[in-house]
Amino acid sequence: MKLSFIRLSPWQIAFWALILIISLPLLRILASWFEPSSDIWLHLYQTRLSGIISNTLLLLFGVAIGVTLLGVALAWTVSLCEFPGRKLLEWLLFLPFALPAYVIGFIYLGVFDFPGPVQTWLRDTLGWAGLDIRAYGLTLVIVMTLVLYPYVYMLARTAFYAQNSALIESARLMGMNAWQVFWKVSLPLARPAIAAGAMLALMETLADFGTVTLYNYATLTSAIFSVWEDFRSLQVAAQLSTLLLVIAVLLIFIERFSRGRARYDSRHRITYRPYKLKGIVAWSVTAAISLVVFLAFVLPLVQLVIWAWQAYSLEWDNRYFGWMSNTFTLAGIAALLTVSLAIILNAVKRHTRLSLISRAGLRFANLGYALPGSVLAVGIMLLIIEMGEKIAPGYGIWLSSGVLALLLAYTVRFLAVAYGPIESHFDTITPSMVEAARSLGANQQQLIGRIYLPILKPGLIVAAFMVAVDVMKELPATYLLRPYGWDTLAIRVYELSSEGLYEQAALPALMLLGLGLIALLGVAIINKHYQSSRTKNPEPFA
Amino acid sequence: MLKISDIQVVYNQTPILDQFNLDIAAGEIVGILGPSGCGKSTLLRAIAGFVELAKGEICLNNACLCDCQCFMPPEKRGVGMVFQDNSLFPHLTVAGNIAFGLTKLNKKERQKRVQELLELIRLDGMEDRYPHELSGGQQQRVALARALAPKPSLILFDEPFSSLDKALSEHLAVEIRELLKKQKTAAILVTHTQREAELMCDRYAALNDVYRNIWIDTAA
Repeated sequence: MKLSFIRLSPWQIAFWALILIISLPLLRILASWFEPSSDIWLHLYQTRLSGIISNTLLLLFGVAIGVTLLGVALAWTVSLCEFPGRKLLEWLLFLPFALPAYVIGFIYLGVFDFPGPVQTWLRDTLGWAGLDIRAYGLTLVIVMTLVLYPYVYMLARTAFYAQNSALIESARLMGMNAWQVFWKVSLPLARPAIAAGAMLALMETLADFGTVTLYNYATLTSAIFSVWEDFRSLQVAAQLSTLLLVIAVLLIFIERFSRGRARYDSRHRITYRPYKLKGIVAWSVTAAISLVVFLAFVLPLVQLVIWAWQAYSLEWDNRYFGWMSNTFTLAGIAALLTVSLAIILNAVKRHTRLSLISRAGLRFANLGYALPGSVLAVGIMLLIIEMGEKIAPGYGIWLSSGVLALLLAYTVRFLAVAYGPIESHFDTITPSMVEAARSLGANQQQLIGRIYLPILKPGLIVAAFMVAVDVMKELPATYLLRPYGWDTLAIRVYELSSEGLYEQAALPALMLLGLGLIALLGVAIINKHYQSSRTKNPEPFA
Repeated sequence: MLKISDIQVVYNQTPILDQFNLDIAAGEIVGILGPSGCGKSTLLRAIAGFVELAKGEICLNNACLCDCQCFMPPEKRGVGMVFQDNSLFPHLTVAGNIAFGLTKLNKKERQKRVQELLELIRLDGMEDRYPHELSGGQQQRVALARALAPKPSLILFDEPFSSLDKALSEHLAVEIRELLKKQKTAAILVTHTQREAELMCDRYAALNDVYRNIWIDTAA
C-alpha cells in the first residue's frame, strides 16, 4: 500500500476498472437504441408515451416549486429569525429525511382518502360529498414535497448561516426591511445551494417508484416497471430508461446553469440572528413551522404507531427475522463496498496528478446518484443476462436476479453519497501533515494507521450510515433485482401498501423509520462531536 | 555535519537547483533568503527526502542520505521539519502531536520528554488542547516542539513565520534560536524576510550568494 507515492500503479488500474464497472450499466442502456425497435415500443409510442412524459414533467415541476418554496422559507426563518421553540423546530425539520416517500405516501392515502377517517368524518357530520385525493397528482406533489423539502432546507440553511453578518447590517442601515434583505441579500447568496438541494429532491422524485404506483400516477419510472412486468421486454425498458436519463441530465445542466459562476463561500458565518420576532408574529411563525413538522413527521409517525399496534398480532411472524437480516446484510455490505470504493477513488485523486480524462471519469462515477434505481436495474439485468448467456447458456436470467447484481446497483447509485463526506475529510489532510508525519519517522503503514484513518474516521462512519439508510429505503432496484425469496423490509412495505393493507404495512414501515432515525441521530452526533472539537467554523447540523 | 555536494534537482525538466553546495557544522543555524519560487523550499525538501536528486549527494553525520544510486526515505532520515502552517495533526492534542515521533520510547519516557518540551516552549498546562484552540504563534511553537522531540541533529524551517504578524514572528525567531541553541540542534531557515534571518541565524545568504559562498554573519 503505497499511499503517497502512487504513480501509474495498481491504484491507477483499480481506478479505471472501477470506473468501467460503474459505467457499464449506463453504456448498456444507451446501446439499446441500436437494436431494432419492437412492436411494444410502437404501441407505447402511439398510446401512452406522451401522457407518461407529461405526467413526469408535471410532477417534477410541482415538486420543484413545492420543495423550493417550503425549504427556502423554513431555512431562512430558522437561520435569521428568533422565535419561541426555534432550536427544537430547527432540528425537528430534518426528521422527514428518515421517512421513505412511499411510507408517507400510503399513510396519507390511508388517512385522507375516501374511506379514511378524515373524509368519513366530513361525510358524517357535514354531509360533504368527498373527493378522490389521487386525482390530478396534487396530493402526490404535496406528499413528495413533505418528504423531499429537507434537501433544500439542509443546503439552504447552511448557506444562510454562511452569510456575512456585516452584509445584512449594511443592508438594514440602507433601510431594507426583512423581506428586502431576503430578496436582495440572502437569496442571491444562497442560490447555488438552493439549486443543488432542489436538484437532489428532483432526482429522488424522478427515481421514485413506490409512491407514484400507490397514487396510480404513471411516470417514466413506473412505465419501466410495467413494461418489464407486463411484457418482459428489457429492451423497451432500456429505451424508456434513456428518456429518464435525458431528463436527469437536463436537470444537472439546469442546476449547473443556475449556479453560474457563483461558488459556495464558507469563510463567513452569521454571528447572531438579526430578527427577533415578538408577540403574535413570533407565535404564528412557531405555529406554522410546527404545522410542517406535524404534517411531515408527527402525523405519519403517530398513524404508523396506531396501525402497527392494531395489526401487530396479524402481521408479525418469524419471517420478519429473515426480512430484517436481509435488509441489514444488504445495507451493511453495500455500505462497506461504497465506502471502500470511495476511499480508493479519493486516494487516487489526491495522490496522483489526474489527467483530464481521469478527472472526467471521476465525475462520471459520481453521476450514479442521478441514475434512477430502475434505470440501473434494467442496465444491470441486460448486462448480466447477456454475459451469463455466453458463460452458461440458459442460466443468464437466473444470474441476473442475484445479490451480486443488487450490490452492483447499490454501489453505482450510492457511491456519490459516500464519496462526499469522505472527500471533505480527505481535504482536511494537508500535504504538510503527511510530510511532517514522515519526517517524524512514520512509514506507509503508520501513515495510514496514525494519520489517514483517524482523520477520515468521522467521514467514513457518516458515509457508511448514509449509504446504509439509503439502501434500506431503496425500492426500485431492490424490487427488480432481488433474488427469489430475498425480500426486505422495504419490499414488504411496498407489497402490503400496494394492496391497500395499510395497517399491516405500518409494522415494517415503522421498523424502517426506526432504523432511519437511529442512523440520522448517529450522523448528527458524529458531526456535532467532531466539528465542535476540530474545526474553527463548525458547520451547522448535517 | 550536513554536507551537500554538487546537487541538481530537476522539476518538469527544468533544473531548480544546479551544482549546489552547502556545509553546515553541528549546532549551526543557517538562513537562506530568496523570493518565492527560487528553489529554497526545494532544497529543504531534497534534504528531508520529499524530492529526489538528479545529481550530487547529501550526507548527514557522515551517512549518505541520497545520491544518484541510493535514496533513504524521509521516515528513516531523522531530520525534523517545521512547515508554514496547518501541519499540526488536527485529531491529536498538543501532547499527542509532540509525542508523534517518539515511538521508540516507552510510555513513561515519552511523557517525560513531552513535559520537557512543553516547558521549553512555555505551553505547559495546554497539553490537552487541540491545535485549533491555539493561536498562530502557539501552533508554530508546538510544531517546533514536535520536530525537536525525537532529538534530530538537524531541523528544517520552511518559512515558519509567514502566517504570523511581524512583531510576533520576530519575537518567535529569537525564541526559537534560544531553544535550538539550548538543544544544540543545527537548523536551516528558509525565508523571504531578512530580519527573521538576522534574528534567528548564525549566518545567512540569498540563495544566489550561496552558490558563490558569500555569507553574512549575524551579531547574534
